Amino acid sequence: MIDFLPSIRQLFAFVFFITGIYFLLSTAVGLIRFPNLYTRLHAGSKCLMAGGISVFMGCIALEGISFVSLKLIIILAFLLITNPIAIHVIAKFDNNYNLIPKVYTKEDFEK
Amino acid sequence: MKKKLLTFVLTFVLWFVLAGRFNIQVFLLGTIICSIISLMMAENLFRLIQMKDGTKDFPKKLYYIFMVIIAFIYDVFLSAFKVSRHAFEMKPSFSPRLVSVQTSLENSNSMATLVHFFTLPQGALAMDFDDIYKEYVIHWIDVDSDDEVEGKKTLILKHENLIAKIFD
Repeated sequence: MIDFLPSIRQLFAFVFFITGIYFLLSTAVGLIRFPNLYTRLHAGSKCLMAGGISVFMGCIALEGISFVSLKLIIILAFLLITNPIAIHVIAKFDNNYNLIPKVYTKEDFEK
Repeated sequence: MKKKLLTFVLTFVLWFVLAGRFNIQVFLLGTIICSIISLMMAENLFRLIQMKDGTKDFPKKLYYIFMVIIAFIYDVFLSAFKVSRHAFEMKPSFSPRLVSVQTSLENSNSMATLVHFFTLPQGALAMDFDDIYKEYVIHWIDVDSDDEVEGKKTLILKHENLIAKIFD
């Protein structure tokens, strides 16, 4: 009898990986193309987190129930906690202290 | 002393999970590092935690914690899809707006959890928090009209009720 479980597991893993690659690519593109700091932070928070979750879920699906999966879940939990905090700190710092950008964009000149 | 011991146990378990093997070298190094961490950080680590009911209703709250995590991950993907669509547009067009949202939450833990809900999902970014008026200053990436702002505020209230059931 053909064992379908590894094939289904691999299928799930690759779907997760492709989703993760799309979101991580959009993070990189967004960080370059978006006009100002806040919109870039949006790309850096949401797309990065969705990409990270997808890639980690793919790794967990590929690995199955094991000790390595537990490690991956813990790393994912740390990512879920630390990324919003870092983004919030950057946004708060810019809001309160009016940071001067090193390279000006069109929106900075308009401001 | 209780806080230090709890910090030590938590960090020690985390150390062994991340180290992935059990031998005398890992054990000794882990003991030294976890002792230093628990001596230095135990007081600050539990400074802001307020436990109103203790651990009495914890099993009941597990359901709400699960619901919050599911809502969180669903919203992250929804929001990431919206932002990533902008990234691949020929000319990225935004209508960002700064909005202040008042919260009815009392507990500091629930407020911090709600900031997580602003920063990741819903295309919003929490920028500041006013302690006196209990207001969040939020940067929204795609808001076209005032009606849309009200609609998004009601969406936040849904999460607020869920978080209030866990902490308050």
